[in-house]
Parts: sequence; C-alpha cells; structure tokens
Amino acid sequence: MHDAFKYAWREINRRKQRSTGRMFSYLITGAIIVLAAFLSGTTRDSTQQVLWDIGAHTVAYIPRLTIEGCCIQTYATDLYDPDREGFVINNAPTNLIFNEQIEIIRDLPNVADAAPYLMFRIRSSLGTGEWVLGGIDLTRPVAHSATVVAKSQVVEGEFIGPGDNGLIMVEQEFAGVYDLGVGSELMLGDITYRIAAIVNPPLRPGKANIYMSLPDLRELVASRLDETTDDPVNAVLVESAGARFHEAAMADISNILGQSSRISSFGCWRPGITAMGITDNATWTITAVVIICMLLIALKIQYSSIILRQVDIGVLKAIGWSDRNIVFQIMAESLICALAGGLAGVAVSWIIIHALPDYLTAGRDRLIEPMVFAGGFLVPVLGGMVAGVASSVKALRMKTADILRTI
Amino acid sequence: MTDIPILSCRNIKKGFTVRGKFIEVLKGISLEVFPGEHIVINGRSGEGKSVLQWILSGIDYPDSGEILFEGVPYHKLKREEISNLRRERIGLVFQNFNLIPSWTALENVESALLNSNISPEDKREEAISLLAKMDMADRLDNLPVELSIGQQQRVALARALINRPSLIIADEPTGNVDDETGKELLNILLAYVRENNSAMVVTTHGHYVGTELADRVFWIRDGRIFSAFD
Repeated sequence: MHDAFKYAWREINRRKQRSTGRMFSYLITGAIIVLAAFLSGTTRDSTQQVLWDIGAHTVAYIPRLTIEGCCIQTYATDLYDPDREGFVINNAPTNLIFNEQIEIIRDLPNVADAAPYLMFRIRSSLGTGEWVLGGIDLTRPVAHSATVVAKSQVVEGEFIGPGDNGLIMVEQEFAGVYDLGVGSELMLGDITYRIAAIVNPPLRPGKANIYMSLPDLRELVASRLDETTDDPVNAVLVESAGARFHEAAMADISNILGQSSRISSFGCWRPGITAMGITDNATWTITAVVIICMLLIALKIQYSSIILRQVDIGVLKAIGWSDRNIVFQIMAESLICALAGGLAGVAVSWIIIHALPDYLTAGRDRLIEPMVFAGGFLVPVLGGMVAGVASSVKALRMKTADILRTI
Repeated sequence: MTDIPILSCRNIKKGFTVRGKFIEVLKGISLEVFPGEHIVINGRSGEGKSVLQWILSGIDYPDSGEILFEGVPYHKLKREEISNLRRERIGLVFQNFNLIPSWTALENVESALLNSNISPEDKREEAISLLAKMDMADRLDNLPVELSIGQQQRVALARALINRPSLIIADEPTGNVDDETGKELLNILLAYVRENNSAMVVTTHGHYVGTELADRVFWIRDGRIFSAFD
C-alpha cells in the first residue's frame, strides 16, 4: 500500500497539469457544495424573515351574523348597539371568542404565539361618526406586532406597556384629523384617556383608530354595555411558526373556532412560499448540475490519463506488476487528488464566505455547520473514488499483449 | 546445462481473427529451454516471434498447447501468480526498451522490485548498485528522454536483471543500437547468464549480434519452428 501511494504521488507530481486539473475539479465541487448550502441557508432565512414580517400572521374572528351554539357567547353580541357601537373586526360586527380557545390555539405546533384582541366600535366624542378601538394584550408583542401595531411604528411619544392604565396610542392620520398630539386628552365614552404615542402602523388586519391595553378597553366596554361580560375578546392574533407552517396554522385555527370563523391574513405568504421553493430548488438544481459536471470532468481527466498511460500500464504489467498493484496506484492517485481538492475546496469556500459582502449574507452569522463542511469534503472524495474505480476497471480490461502489440 | 528445462512449451497454437478471417500465427510450437542456454529464434516480421515471446512469458495465452515453467504449467497459475512469476523469475527486455518516460533511470529499475520483501532503502541501493555496474552511476536521475539509446537499453537491462531471473526473454536486445554498443549489451547479458546459470531466449529478425554465440538457433517460418542445425 505504501508503494501505491509512493508511485501515485510520483505520477501526480510528474504530470502536474493533469493533476492540477483533477484537483481543481474537486476543489470547485467541494467549494460549490459549501457555498450553495450557505447561500441557500441565507436565502431561506432572509425569505423566512420577510414572510415572518409581512405574511406569517393572522387575525381570526367570528362574524356576528353567523351563530354557532357552543362556541359563541351570544349574550354579549345581543347587546349590540343599534347606533353602531359594538364588537367589530374589519368594520363588521363579530361574536365573542372564549379565552380557552385562545389558549388552545397558542399551544398548536404550527403557532408561534397567540394573543387575545378586542376591537370595539364606539361613538365619537368629537362630533358624529364612530371610532374603532383596539385593546391589545401588551404582554404578547410577538402576536400583536405584526397584526396590529408594533413599537417600531411609534411616530411620536412612547409605546404603552402592560401596566400603563389610562394611556392610549392614536393612529397618525386619525390624530391629524382631530388635531391630537402626544399628551392630549381624549374622551372615550365617559372615560378620559391621555395620548401616550402617535403610531403609524401599515395596513394591518387588526388596524384601529385608537389602541389601548386590553384591560383598559374591557373596562371601557363594560361601561358601555348594560350586562357585564367576563374578559371579552372578539379576535385572536396569531403568529404562525413560520411561513411554511402558515397554511396549516390557519386550518388548525379554523377547526378550533368553527367553519364560520374568518381568518384575515395577507396573501403574500403563498407566493412567498412558492418563491422560496423555486429559489431553493433552483439553487440546488444548479449546484447539482455543477457538481455532476465537475465530477465528470475529474472522471474524464482521470480516465484520459489511464488511456494515455496505457503503454506504461502495459509495460508495468509485463514486468510483473499485478492487477492489484495497478489498481492500488490508480485509486491512490485518484484519492490523493480528491482529498487535496476537497480540502482546498472547503478552505476556499470558507474564505469566500467570509469575504462575501454583507448584503449577500443578509447579516446572517457566517458560521458554517460541520455537516456542510463534511459534505463539501466528502462528495469530492466520493467522486474521486468513483473516478478511481472507473479508471481501474479500464486499466484491468487492458490486455498487456494487445498494448505491447501497439508499441 | 542440466536435463531439467526452465521452460518448456508443447504444441503451442495461437491465432487471431482479423476482419472476420482467422489467421493462425503459431501452428504447434514446441521448445525446451535449459539452464545456462542462450537460444536465438530468428524470423521475419509477422512470423509470430513476438507472439511466441509473450506466450512464453505468460503475457498472452495460447489457444492450445501447454507451457511449463520449472515444471509448473501456466494454466494452473492465477493471474496474480503469473505476474509474480514474471516479476521474480523472468526478465523481459524489449526492443524499444519501454521505459516509463516520466520516471528516472533509477525509478525505472526500482519499479521491478515492487512487492519485493526488502526495504525501500535496500531497493534503492540494489538498483543503484546494478546501474553502477552498467556504467550508469552518473545518470540515475535522468529521465529516459535525457539518455542515449544505448543508455536507455542499459536501464532496460538493469530493470530486467534486478530480480535475478532464471530466464531472460529478449526481443531484439541489440536491434536499436550500433554493433559496438550491441556487443557491450550482449556481454552484460551473457555474463549474467553464465554467472547465474540462467537461460536466455532472444527473438530477432536478423540483426542480433549474438547469434554466433548462441547455443541453439531456431527459425520460425509459416507458424512452425525449425532448428537452424536441422
């Protein structure tokens, strides 16, 4: 075996161009595997993040016109004010949802978080018209940030916290219409609230004119209804576990709230998922094609090398080298090239990944999983073994006498 | 000479199919080679000298007939065993030397010692020593292309002799060199045969300088072998 590696190394050393070509093919194969895995991961993470921000969340509610016995607290909706006050979502009257149902939804495997949400329409205290109030469970920012309002959307003032009673946040356009600012006071029903912040959330399923804590809105609602309710909630804000799980999460929620429930979500997750799939598939298809091409090139070089050396092989067989000696040398040659190429490929990919501009990595950590490195190293080695076996078979099939006849 | 042949072949037949037509090249060759013998087989090109040479050395197989090396028939040996036999007991010398072009003179000679049970250092020492005996001590690290024709043939001879074979099979060993160099090479070979009680079978088409010194001379004609003294 030692001799096989000695003679293999000699061949590699003496036929530098061919050996370099082989090693380069393995290098490219290894590097591309690591790079493709890294960039694919980056693309997937980025897409996932984008979809998380805009698409992997929903507001679920039950429209009032649909009555489903066990799931509906009908007494509250029966107190619907004919002068347009009452529980609404998307400007349509709704029924109430049991808090236990929200707990069940929160525990679903496809759901990252679920929070109760209360939307109530109230008559304006500044002339005619109605305002929509949103009562947020401020202890669950994951659920409300993407569906209702987030801290980052504060234009002026301070985002209210879980213990901030008597404080409200006003939507920027609404504040403009009524000339309201941070610190202004606003009467809702019979209660006066101070404006803590002006916010400007983009289009959201649970967008309201005024936001306050859930306990404050419940207190206000209770003051408007003749009959008290236990912690009323008319919507559930859901953040899915990810864009890939969004459809399943929505189906689960629908099962829990009943078929008459409505699930308001942005539709961008669906093309987003498709785009992710296309990007992922395209990346790996291109990678596979390049890897196959590179391995075929390495195989071709190795195979050609055997054809070109057939006289040498014939002479060595004639002077007593056995088939095993020939095979060991060819395999050793192939393995040395593949090992060197694979190692170099992994090293080159590491350098490239650390040299990539930030916009290509989307701020992703540049640590590479050991399994990816192992793949980048082992695939070329495997390719080298295949090339070695194919070339060995060719060498074994060569008949010494036939070769000598050609000299 | 002893009565036990190193090599004997009986009624060897070999043919090839060329463009659908079967051509029988060897039509029943029988020959015995004894230790210490120097045998020359003459023949024109295409008469089957090389085919016979390859069959005698186990590189090619006859269609029929039997070859025995020191009493052991080739057909009872596995491929690996025939390779070992060829490496350890038979020294092959080619007309065109057939040195590996990318290996130095020393490496070419060393290559014949593959699988020998001696250390790499000893292999090297042995190869250097043999090349030095052939006045090649200062050309050890030269590639074949950097050597003269005569020097290349010396390297080829060293490669053939380094395992101390009991039989040398040579194809026109002096065919590509001038007469003076040819005689030098012949002296090396004959000295080896004498010293080791080996045998040598040389095939030639007439330009072998040692024909006059041969113990027996044969002719191959029309696929059959004839003794020149018959």
